[in-house]
Amino acid sequence: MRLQQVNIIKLLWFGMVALSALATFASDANTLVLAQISERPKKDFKELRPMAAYMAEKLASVGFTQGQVKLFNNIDDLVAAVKRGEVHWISETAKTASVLINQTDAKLLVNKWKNGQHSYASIIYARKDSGINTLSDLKGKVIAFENKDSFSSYFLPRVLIEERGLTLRHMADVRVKPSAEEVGYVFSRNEKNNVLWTAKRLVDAGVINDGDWENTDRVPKNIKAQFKILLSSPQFPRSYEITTPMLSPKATKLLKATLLSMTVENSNGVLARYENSIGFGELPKGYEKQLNDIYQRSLAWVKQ
Amino acid sequence: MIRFSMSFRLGLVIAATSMAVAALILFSLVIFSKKINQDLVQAGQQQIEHAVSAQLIRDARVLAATLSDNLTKPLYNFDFSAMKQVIEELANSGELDYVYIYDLNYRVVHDGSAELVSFGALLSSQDKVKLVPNGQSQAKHIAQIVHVTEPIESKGVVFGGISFGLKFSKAEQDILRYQQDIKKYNDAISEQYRLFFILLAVFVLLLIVPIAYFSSRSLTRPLSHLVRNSHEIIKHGGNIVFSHHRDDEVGQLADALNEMTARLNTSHQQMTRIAYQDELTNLSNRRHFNLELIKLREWASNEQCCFALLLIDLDKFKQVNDTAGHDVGDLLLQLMAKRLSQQANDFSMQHTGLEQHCLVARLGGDEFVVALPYVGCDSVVTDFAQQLNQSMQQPMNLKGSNIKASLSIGISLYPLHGKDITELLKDADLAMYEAKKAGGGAVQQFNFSMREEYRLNYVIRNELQSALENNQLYIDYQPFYSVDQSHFIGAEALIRWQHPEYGLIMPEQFVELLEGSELIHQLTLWVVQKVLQDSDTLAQLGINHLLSINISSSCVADNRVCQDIAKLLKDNQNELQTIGLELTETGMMSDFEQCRRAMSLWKEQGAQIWIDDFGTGYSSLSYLHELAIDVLKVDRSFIASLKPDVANPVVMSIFALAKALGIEVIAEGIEQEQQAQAVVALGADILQGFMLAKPMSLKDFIQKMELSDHVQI
Repeated sequence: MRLQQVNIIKLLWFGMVALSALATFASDANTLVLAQISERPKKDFKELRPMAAYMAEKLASVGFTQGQVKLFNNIDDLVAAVKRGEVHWISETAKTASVLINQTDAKLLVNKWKNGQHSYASIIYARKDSGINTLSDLKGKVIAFENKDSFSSYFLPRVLIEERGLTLRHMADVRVKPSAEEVGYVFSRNEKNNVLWTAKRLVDAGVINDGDWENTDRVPKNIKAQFKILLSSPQFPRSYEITTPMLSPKATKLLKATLLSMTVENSNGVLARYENSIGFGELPKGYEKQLNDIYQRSLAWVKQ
Repeated sequence: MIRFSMSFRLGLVIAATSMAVAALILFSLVIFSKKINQDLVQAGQQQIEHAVSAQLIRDARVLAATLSDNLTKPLYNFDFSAMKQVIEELANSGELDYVYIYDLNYRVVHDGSAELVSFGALLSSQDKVKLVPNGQSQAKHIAQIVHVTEPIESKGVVFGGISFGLKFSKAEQDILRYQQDIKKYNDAISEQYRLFFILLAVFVLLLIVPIAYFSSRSLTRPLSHLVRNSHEIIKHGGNIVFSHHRDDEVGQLADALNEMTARLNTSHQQMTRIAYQDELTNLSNRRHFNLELIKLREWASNEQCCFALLLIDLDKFKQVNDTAGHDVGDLLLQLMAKRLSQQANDFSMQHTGLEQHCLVARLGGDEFVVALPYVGCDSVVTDFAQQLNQSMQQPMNLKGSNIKASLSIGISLYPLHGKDITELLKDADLAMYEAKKAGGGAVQQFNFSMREEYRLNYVIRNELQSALENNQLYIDYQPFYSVDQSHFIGAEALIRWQHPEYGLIMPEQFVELLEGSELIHQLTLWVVQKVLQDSDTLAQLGINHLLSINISSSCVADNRVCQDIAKLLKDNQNELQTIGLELTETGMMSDFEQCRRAMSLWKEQGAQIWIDDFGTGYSSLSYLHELAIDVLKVDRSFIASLKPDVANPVVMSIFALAKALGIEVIAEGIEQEQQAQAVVALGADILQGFMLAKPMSLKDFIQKMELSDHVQI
C-alpha cells in the first residue's frame, strides 16, 4: 500500500543519509562535499546533487574524484560540521552566511543567482481588510516571518520594522496575542503558510521575498488580491557560495573560476537544476559589513 | 389402423414412464444445480465484495491513523503546508473524494485546496461524514467510497480530526472483475454440468430402452406363446395344447384356452359330422361326397386310374313309405347303405386293394351314389351293379313287412365319359334316368347320346315359350278317311316344331316333356285356337269338316284351362265344323269328377269327346257310358295286330262294345290295305293312317277336302 511505500521511501532516505555520513567519515580528499541547511532534504538533495557531481569532475585536477551533498537540520549542526572539517562548500543565503563567516573560517566565494534572481527584496503585506496601512499599524498585531534563519523573511523585515521604532515580541503560537504596545511575531516555517496564515487571519501580516510574491504557486491570484503591500525593501544579493578551509586555495580558486564561467547554456542543465540558478557573480562591495551587521543583530535578537 | 403388439406397447409404457421419471430427476438436478450455482456465485461475489471492502476499510483506517499522527503537530501549528503534504500523501493512496482537517469545534482547518476555500467553515450534519465527538475512529464503506474519520490527538488529548472519503475505483474494478471471473468460471462449470447431464440422459435412455424391451418381452412372452399356439390352431386346427408351468393369470388363460380348444374340437367334430354325414345312414352326404370325389379324381388323375360313378335310386321307394311306413322306409335305406358300403368295399379290395378310395354317399331321399375305382375292363362295374341289384331284389323282412327292392343304377366312367366331376355325375344321372324309364330294376351305363337327348330335352323345356312367340310351331293335319276310302271327312291336328337348330321336332319328343308344366297349358290353348282358326278358314270355303285336337291330361285336370278351352270353342263356332277333343284313358281316370266337369263344359259348346289310344289304358265300361263319349280311337297296336283271316277277339269286342254303346270308332295307324279291310269289316266308322294319308299342311288338307265329298258324321 501507499502508506508502506511512503515508509519504505523514508527508510531508504534515512539509510541514504546514514550511508553518506559513513562515506564522509571514510572520505578522503577525493570527495567534494557540498552542504546546505534543509527542511526538505529530498527536494534539496535532488537540487544540489548534480552540481556536486559536476563540480567534482571539474575539480578533478585538484584531486577530487566525486561530489557529495550534505544536508543539515539547522545552522548549529552546519557550523559544527564545518568546524569539524567535513564540508568543502556551502550554498546559503545571507543570514546563514553571516553566521558561518563569523563563527567559522568559511569565506564567501561568489553571489549565487538563485531562483532566477540576481537579488531579492522583502515584501511586508497584510490583508486589505485588516485596517493595517503602515508598519506602525502593526502594534498590538502579529506578523508572520518564515523562520529565524531567513534573511528576506525574518532578518531584513525585522530590521525594517525595528527601524520604525517598534518592539517585536516572539509569540509561542498564533493563538497568543501580543500587548498593544508590541508587535508579536510568529514563524510560519515557509512562505506558503505565511501567505495562508495571513489570508485566513491567523496572523495580521506576513513577509515573503519578492520572488515568491510574484509566484502564483506561492501566492495564488485570488489570495494576492486580498493583500496589500505595507513595505517593499531594497534589493539584496540572492544567495552565496561559501567555501571552507577544507578546500585548498587552489581548489577554491578553480571552484570560483568554474562557477563564474557557468552559464545556463554551457552548464548542460546543471545550473538550472541547481535551485533554478541562472549564474554566479562577483561579491558586491560592502557585503562583509552587511553580513556582519546581520550577524550582530541576530545575536542581539537571540539574547532578547 | 395400425395395431402394435402388446409387448411393444408395454415396452413403450415402461420406457415412457422410466424416461419421464428420469427426465424429472434430471430436470430437478438441472434446476437445483442452477440455483445452487447462482447462490454460490452470489455468495462468492458478496464475499469478495465484503472481503475487499473490509480490506479497504482496514487499510483506510491504518492510513488515517498514520496520517492523524503526522497531523498532530501541523494542526497545532496551523502548518498548512505540512497538512497539505499529508493530504497529498493521502491523495496518492487513492482517489480522494473529499478531505477535511478540522478543530474541536468542527471548523475546517484544511480542505486540501491550495486556497483553503473551506477554512473556518463549520462542518454540518449534512456533511458527508458523521463526526465522532468522543474521538473514536470510524470507517464505513458506502457506495464505492470509504468514509474515514480519525481523531487527531496528542498524548490522549483530542484537538481535532480528519475526515476523508476515498474512492477505491481500482479495488471496485477488481471486485467487478473478480465477480465476473467467478461468473465466468461458474458458467464454465455449468457448461460441464450440462454436458454431464446430457451424457447422463443419454446413458439413462440407453439403459431404459433395453430394460423396457426385455422386461416387456419377458412379461408378454407367455402371452405371445399362447397367441402363436392360437394362430396354429386357427391355421391347422387340431390338438395343440397350451403348455405352461405357471399359476398366474397367464397360466389360467392357458387352461381356459385348452378347455376352449377341447370344446371347439368336439363342437367341430359334431359340426363336421352334421355337415358331412347323412344322419340316417351315417354315409357321407352330398357335400362330403363332392369334396372326397375331388380328391379321388386327383388320385385317379395322378395314378392314371379309372373310377366309376354309380347313381343308384330305389325304385318305388315312395310306395314302401306309403304302404309299410316311414320307419320301414328308413330301415330299408339303412340296410341299403350298409350293403352298398360293404359291397363297394369288397369290390375295392378285390379290384384295387385301395379300400379308402371307394366312396359311398346318400345324396338325399332314396338316391345313393358310389364312386368306385377299378382296374381293367369296365364291365366289372356293370357286373358289380347287377350283383348289387340282385342282392337288393332278395326279399327282406323289415319289421314284419316283406320288402323286395329294386334299383335303378346309372353308371358313368372316369375318364371314359369325361374328367369333369359335375359332368360325370350328370351323366350317371342321365343313365340312371334311362334305367328308370326302362321300368326300373335296371343298370344303364351312360352313352353320349343320352347327353344329346338331355340337351334336346333341355332345349325343349327352355325354348318352347320363345318358339310359341316366334311362330316356330305349326299344325299339320292327318286326314280321316271314310270307310270306303273315297274321301276325306276331316283330320287330326298334329303339332310340329320347326326348330332353327334341331330341325323338325315331333310332338312325341316334346309334348310328354311338357307334361305337368304350365307350358303344356299354353301349348294346348294355342293348338285349340289355331285349329279353330283353321276351322273358320274351312268354313269360309264352305267345307264341312271334322277336326280333332289332342288335349293333354294335365289340361283336363286344370279347371281354369278347361274353361279357357270352352271359351275358345264358344267364340269360334261355325256351322260347318265338328270339333273332337281327344283325351287319353289315363288322363280321364286320374280325376274322374274333374274330367266329367270338363267334358260337360266342352260338350256344351258343341265339341265331341273322343278317347284316344283306347284299349291301352285302364278304363271302365261304365265310364264310357256315363261320360257320353262320342268317339273311340282304337289304339294303333290293336290295328297292327290284325292279320287277314285271323280273328282278334279283343278288337272285335271293342268294336262290338262301341256299337252297343252307340259310339263311333276310328281306326288309326292303318298302314296296310288288309288292316283297312279288317277294321271296315269290324265296323270302323273312320279310317286314319299313313297308308291313307300322311299328316299334311292346312293348305294341302284344304285342297284334299275340296276334292272330297263332304260327309257329315
